[in-house]
Amino acid sequence: MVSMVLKFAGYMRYNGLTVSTSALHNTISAMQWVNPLNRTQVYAALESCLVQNMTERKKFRKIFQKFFEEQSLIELEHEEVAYKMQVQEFASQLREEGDYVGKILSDYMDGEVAGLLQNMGDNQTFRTVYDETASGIGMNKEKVRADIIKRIDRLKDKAVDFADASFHLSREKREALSDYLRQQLEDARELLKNNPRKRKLRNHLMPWERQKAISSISFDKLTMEEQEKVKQEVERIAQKLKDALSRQKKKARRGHLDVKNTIRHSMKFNGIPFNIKTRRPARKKGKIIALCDISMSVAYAAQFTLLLLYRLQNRFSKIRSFVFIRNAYEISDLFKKYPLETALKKAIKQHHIGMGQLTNYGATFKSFLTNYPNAITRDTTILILGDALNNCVDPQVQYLKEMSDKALRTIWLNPEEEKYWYTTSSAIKDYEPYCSQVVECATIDQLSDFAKNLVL
Amino acid sequence: MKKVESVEDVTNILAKQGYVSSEEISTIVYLAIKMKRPILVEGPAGVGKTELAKSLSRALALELIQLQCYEGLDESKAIYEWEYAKQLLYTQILKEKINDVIGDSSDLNDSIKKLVGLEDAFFSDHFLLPRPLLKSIRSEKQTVLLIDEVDKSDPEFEAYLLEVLSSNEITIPEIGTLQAKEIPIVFLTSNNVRDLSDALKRRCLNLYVDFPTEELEAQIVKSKFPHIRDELVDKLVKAVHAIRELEIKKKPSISETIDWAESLLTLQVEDITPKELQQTLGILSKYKTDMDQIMQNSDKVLGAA
Ligand SMILES: Nc1ncnc2c1ncn2[C@@H]1O[C@H](COP(=O)(O)OP(=O)(O)OP(=O)(O)O)[C@@H](O)[C@H]1O
Ligand SMILES: [Mg+2]
Repeated sequence: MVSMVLKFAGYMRYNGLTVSTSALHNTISAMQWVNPLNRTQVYAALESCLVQNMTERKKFRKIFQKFFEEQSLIELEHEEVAYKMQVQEFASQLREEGDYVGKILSDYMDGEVAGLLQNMGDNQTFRTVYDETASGIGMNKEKVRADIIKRIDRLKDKAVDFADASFHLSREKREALSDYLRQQLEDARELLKNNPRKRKLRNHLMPWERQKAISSISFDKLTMEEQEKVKQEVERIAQKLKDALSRQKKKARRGHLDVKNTIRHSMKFNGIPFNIKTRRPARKKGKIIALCDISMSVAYAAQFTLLLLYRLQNRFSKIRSFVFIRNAYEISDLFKKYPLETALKKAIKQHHIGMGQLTNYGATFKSFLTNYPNAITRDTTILILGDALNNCVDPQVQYLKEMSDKALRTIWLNPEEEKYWYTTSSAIKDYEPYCSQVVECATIDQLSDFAKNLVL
Repeated sequence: MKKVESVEDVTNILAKQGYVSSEEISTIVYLAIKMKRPILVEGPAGVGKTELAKSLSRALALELIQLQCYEGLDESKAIYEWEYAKQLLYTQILKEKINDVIGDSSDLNDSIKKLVGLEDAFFSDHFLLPRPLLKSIRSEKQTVLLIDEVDKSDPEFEAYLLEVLSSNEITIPEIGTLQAKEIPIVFLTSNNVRDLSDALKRRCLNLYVDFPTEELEAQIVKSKFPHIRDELVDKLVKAVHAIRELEIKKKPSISETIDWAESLLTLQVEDITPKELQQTLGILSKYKTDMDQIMQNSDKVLGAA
């Protein structure tokens, strides 16, 4: 039964629906209560746990029907915990062998069928997310498939041995385990042998992975369509943060007793405070100064960060935004007048920010201090968004220090992955001492985390 | 609570209460009982979302506690409130007794200690006014908790609800944490006024109740009017389904079907012709434009073709 659920979940993912682990757990426990031979009950149980969005129901129904046409659900062992752990143990032993085929199969035994499914289908040269391990290029899909099948056949024997050696299980359970593992492997073999499927999208990421992965793809690798998605995602994050904020506010509102006001009102009632008056604590809103590098290397990231900031703008007393390549240039007004992309485009058109030149952080900070000497005050949070690739010129840290000293805090958001920070071309190590925080902000998830810390 | 040991049991006990359940609905209700998880019921207006919870509570002989949600619903209406007026009243009475209480205290310190001791009494069960959520958590017997139209509440409240539903406990700062003695059977209903949070949906079993099949709807009508003729039921249900297919503002719900059946019975109609349809049109629809639509398509609706 568990294997059926896992397989079904894999199949759902394959068809582009998301299945969270918690939903999977629910499903597995729900399935214990229904009659597995009753289609309607199985359907209702699966749907109630796996479909979280009304709009996905139709698709789900189709997937369900297809799935159960392809395989019938006959095997229904009631595995117990120990038994399940053995299955996992088998998978992890497999994983320890460390090679590519072993990985795919151990994933599969763990219920993650993605790797396996990728190897069904067309005859294109093999390029998947497993590229690294497969040392990809030139590796023929047919060959990989043949390798997997060969391995599966050997594994079947191994599975029997493994089950036989699981002494802490009863004899019955051992046999069931052996059957189960063999059945699983047999299923995998069948899946590989005859299931040519056409896939539409780019071939290095599968549809279901794309859906999941969109929030962890680096901004600069996004296609137009994905950018649109990310933007929606930003909106969603903003909404979530706003919800969280209003929740917080509501709590605060219940806050302090306003003694004076309460006493004043109690006069009417002979000094008895029938109406308790409370006072909302004054909420301190800070100022934000955002400095964004808009050279090509960080333009995407800048775009999303600004978008998020502006969605949250009433959380701050003021946001001023600046873009730079080698001169800081204020674009706050443009944001007031135009939608974000237009504003950015217009900003880029202004020649004096240094489009086409190399990014120079030192010069930028210097120009910022000269042109906007009073911009930074004690309640200002400075956000610098940039990869700190200073093209090997002097970082002139004294200017950042000067800015930082005036402000409440200075946060550097780096869209570059952390492992590159300490290479020679990055000046982040020079600037880091003058920042309160340097955060990696290469993906939507990271951006969301950062925003949460900023406003809550 | 009565015992339910299968999906069929659920269908049967609901039927006894006049609720005609589909196998899907019964399955999910059964799961909710067994897995002790809330059910989130979504679907168009009038398909019996609220009725399901009510019928189940009757069927299981459990108390039904209903929390109707609306915008601005807050903790003091949903969870608990201190009975402030009552507290005040007691203060007033105490005022006269205050000397008795602190009478033999030797100094100020001592008096204060005695008074502080009284404070606990003021924030005790005695002055606590439990609202539906707390009531259901504190109940000695299992209850059916119906949180109706949860989509109308604010996101903050939804978040709080999620907390209570996942932990089955409520914390009252002055008293402490109250753990549910019996985890209630929880129904949340939603008409999708706004999207509920993923977290809440993940916590719940999701049940989508749609308009019933013709077969089921016929059963519903028959269960309400046992003496109604089969041919009439058949025609009436077919007509309602045909109307739902039309492009109209509001599709007639089950309650409209039932009302229609009732009025047709009252009028002692033998067969539904355009004349009868016209006569009773006001029951099926409230909108002029919808009524026109229905009459224009009366052929299709009455299956004359
Ligand atoms: N399956 C059913 N069996 C018997 N009666 C039903 C059934 N479904 C609905 N009804 C009848 O339909 C009426 C309307 O149902 P109910 O008020 O529960 O709808 P609802 O889905 O809660 O609507 P709303 O979204 O407007 O709150 C009920 O009074 C009940 O008599
Ligand atoms: Mg209702």
